[in-house]
Amino acid sequence: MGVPQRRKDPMTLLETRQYDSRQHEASCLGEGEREWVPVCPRAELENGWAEAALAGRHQVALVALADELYAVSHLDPHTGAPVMARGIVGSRKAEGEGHRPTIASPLLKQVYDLQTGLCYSDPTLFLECFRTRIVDDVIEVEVPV
Amino acid sequence: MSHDVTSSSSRSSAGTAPRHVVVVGGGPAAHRLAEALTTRDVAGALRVTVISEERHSPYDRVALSRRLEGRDDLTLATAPWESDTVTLLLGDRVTGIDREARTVTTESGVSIEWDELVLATGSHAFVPPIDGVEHARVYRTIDDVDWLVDEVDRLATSLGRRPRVLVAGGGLLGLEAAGGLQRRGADAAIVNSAGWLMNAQLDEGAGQALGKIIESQGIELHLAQMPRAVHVDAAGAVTSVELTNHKHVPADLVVFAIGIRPRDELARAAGLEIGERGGLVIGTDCRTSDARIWAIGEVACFEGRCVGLVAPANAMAEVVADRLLGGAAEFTSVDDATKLKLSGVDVASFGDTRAELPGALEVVYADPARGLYQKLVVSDDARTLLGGVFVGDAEPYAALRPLLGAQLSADPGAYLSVAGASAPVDDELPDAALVCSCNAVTAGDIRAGIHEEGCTELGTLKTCTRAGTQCGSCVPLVKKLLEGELTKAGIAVNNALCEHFSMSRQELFDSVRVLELTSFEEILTRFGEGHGCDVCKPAIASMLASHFDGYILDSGRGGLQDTNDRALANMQKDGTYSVVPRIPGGEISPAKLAVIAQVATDFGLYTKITGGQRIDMFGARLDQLPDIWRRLVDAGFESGQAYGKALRNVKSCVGSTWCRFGVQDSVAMAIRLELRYRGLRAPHKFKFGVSGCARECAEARAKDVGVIATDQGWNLYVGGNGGFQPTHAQLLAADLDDDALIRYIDRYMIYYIRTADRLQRTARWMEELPGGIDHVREVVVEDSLGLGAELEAAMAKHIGSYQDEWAATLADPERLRRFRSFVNAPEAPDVGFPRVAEREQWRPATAEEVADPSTVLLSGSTIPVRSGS
Ligand SMILES: Cc1cc2nc3c(=O)[nH]c(=O)nc-3n(C[C@H](O)[C@H](O)[C@H](O)COP(=O)(O)OP(=O)(O)OC[C@H]3O[C@@H](n4cnc5c(N)ncnc54)[C@H](O)[C@@H]3O)c2cc1C
Ligand code: SF4
Repeated sequence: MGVPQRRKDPMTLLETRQYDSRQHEASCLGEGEREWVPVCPRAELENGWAEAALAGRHQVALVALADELYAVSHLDPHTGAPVMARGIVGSRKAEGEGHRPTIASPLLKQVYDLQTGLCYSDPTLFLECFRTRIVDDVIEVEVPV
Repeated sequence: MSHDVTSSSSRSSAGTAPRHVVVVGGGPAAHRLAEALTTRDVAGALRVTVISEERHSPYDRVALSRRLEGRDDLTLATAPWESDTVTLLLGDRVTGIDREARTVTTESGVSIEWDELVLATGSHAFVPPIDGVEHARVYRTIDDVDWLVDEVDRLATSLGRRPRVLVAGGGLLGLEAAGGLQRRGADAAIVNSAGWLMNAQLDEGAGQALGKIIESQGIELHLAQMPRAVHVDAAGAVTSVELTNHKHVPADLVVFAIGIRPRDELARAAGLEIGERGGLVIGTDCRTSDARIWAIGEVACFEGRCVGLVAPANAMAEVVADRLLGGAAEFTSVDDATKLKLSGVDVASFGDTRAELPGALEVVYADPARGLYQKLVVSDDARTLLGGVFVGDAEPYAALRPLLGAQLSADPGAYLSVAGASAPVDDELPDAALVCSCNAVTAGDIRAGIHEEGCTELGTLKTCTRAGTQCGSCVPLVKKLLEGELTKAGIAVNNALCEHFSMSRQELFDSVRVLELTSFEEILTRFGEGHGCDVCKPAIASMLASHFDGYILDSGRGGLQDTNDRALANMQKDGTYSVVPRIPGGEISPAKLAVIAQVATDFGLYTKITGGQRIDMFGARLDQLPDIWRRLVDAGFESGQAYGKALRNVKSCVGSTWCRFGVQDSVAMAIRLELRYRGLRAPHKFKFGVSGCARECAEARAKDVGVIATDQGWNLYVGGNGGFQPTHAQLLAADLDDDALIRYIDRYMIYYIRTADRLQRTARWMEELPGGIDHVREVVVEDSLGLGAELEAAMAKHIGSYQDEWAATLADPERLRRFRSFVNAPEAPDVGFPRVAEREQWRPATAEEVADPSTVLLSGSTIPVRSGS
């Protein structure tokens, strides 16, 4: 049974993150070898309604917005329960960065940044994020091998 | 501490042993003293014993009218007796004081030694020595009130009509008693010796205006008269009361509230100095003529008089507490301000109400025909406020009373709201101004509570400063001060829903209704920014559900729903769900019980009876929900909406069908209500209860809507809740027939849904509403806003469009897709958590159990989850 991943120092991630949501691609850092896994047709997802998917040996939560697509871990960082895809998707105003996309844990409502995985309400928590892309209308998620 | 008499019966000899303080009487004064001593005596210098003849723990006498209307529990909030240094002896009366030996003796024969003695014996209600007076009752204690309520019920049954009650006394207490008994189903009349009501506080004009209001409530007045005799029939039942003009007023019950007398009998026998008109004479230090004996509350005579108000009683208690601990506090003045606590009747006065101070001027507005009277008394230059009287509309009272003796910033006439004056009182209250006289809380204390204690909500501010917790008349002012301070601090009374919407829930709700907006996107574009969040999305989903019933996960509304609504089930800590079918009124056939048992067995669910008379099945995976519900729906169950901010259940007792005591069929009514209001979404979940008689086995008064059967119909209570801040529901209307009951509930619920804040329960909503239960009664029962028909129509619309959410889900393959565990593996089980056996069932294993290799796990998961990193 998997232990939810926690990173004690999310701030270092913030400094080095590089993402470009306009290209439908979220980038989150991670070490080791990764691979792109096709998951499902884009048409399967409803905007604003997150869904769980299996990507390799990972349970991921897919979030589609009008022109953005995110994949984060489906495991709630706080409890380890597989529930993140059932959280509410929204946004959070950030200094100088406009509205940043978020997802709230459905259990205890911690709010995470969909692009960086940082937790707004508890800095010790971190939600793992994966890069996504769409190839021939099929969603692919990049996960560790 | 236990009521162990021996432990409190010894006096300390000398040295460091704590001194023993004995308090005679257990009213509000004694309670305040014990409380102040327990909080201040940190060094443990004192031991306290409180002896009260009443059986009840010290209670809030000021609030007796609430008990009259709704059997409220009036026990005072804090219990200093729980401290090891305080002993409370109930149900024993002190019969003698020995000043030499420094002991008191009680009726039960106990003798208790003291180092300091405090007399807090209060008053008794005065009853004149007239013929037949032994058949009358007074209005002073909980036992009096309970007896009166039972007697009115008993008379109503035995006479087969509304009993007639004659109340002698047209002062504050008489009016309260008459109004309360009238509301309990009696026809009340009042006899008053003066030519107008409340003659101790009001001048004639105000008294006449008040008379108009009281008569309009159906209460008959006999003015400038006194009772001469109470007449009874051969069986001893009261038949009439003869007045001084020899008129006979028919009556079945007589209550005397013509004045109080200090209970100074012990002090007299002990030879202490007694005032001319009774009461124990005290100085500013609250000492009697014996330096070791103190007197506080109504029994104390200060500057020649005893005062029948709780504010000076509290103040004296604080002085004695301070002095017993070596302080030098002084009791200096009595605040006479009063406000009548009779719903629907606004009367208040303060200061020099009769303009008796030299040079005092009166500014009066009187409209006796409409029952309106307002008067300010000011100094001869019309600048300094000396007093005020308000009848029919006491709105300015709360804001003006603290300005007593201060300069007004505008012409006095501008403060009279009935004269159409528009100048709202915005004089900045000085810190020293007394806002809550009952508990001596100043404007400065309230500001400190806001800024230093961080109490920025009315409820917490009341608790932390105590303001408004006794007679409640200052609550509007406390609220105004709070809003003023928050605005000043730039916290700008923030009613914004969240960072995406700057409007309050109510504003947004109204706009959505008026503009007929049907989607989150439309609402966001018009009124908000960003993409929403877990606060505004469910709030708007709930509004849309209130306006346009219909399947909650369709039309783009799925992603707005909160955790539980999203899956039409309740998510548990391990990500599985619990399933609760509706069991209306808690009534279920054995055959249906068998269905639940079989479903739970087949799907391996843990079962538990809920607090709401239903059965909860735990541990279902998301993808199992449709299969479980197909079985339940086929067997005739429907969704219990345990997941929604909606009607949960209507709890009922078994009622007259089976119960020996029942007077109405509570189960049938509960089922009727549950089927009527099922599916109704609101700012917070809500519950109903229905009891078949006054024994209240269904605990209906702990519910948002409580219905309790009476011989004549139903009493309707509203605004109760359990939870972390329990509140008893308050009586909205009595003896209703089925139709009126349902009409009022329709109006009440829609009014709540339209005006409450996000996640605000009915109890908190009513606390925040200016006017509280009285306001609700005006809107719901008296239809003062003319909204009745509209509110009923909104409810009718909801009822007409109700559909069972689970049946609707099962009927539509598109909707069923929402219950797939993985978009690319719809039926792969998603749960990784193992379970352990416990008490013949199973439960999720704890983290420690999972880590412990010796734990016997029932089922692991075969599903891939991230391996440890
Ligand atoms: C119906 C009603 C409404 C009221 N409304 C208001 C209001 O709106 N505002 C306001 O300011 N005030 C109001 N009052 C007055 C207020 O309740 C009293 O001022 C207050 O209770 C006085 O407190 P106390 O402790 O001095 O006396 P009490 O409350 O009378 O308590 C004295 C206690 O001592 C007991 N006792 C007496 N002698 C003995 C003995 N020998 N041995 C043992 N025990 C003894 C008594 O049984 C009693 O329990 C109201 C009173 C009533 C009855
Ligand atoms: S409330 Fe009355 S009717 Fe209902 S069970 Fe209790 S005693 Fe019987």
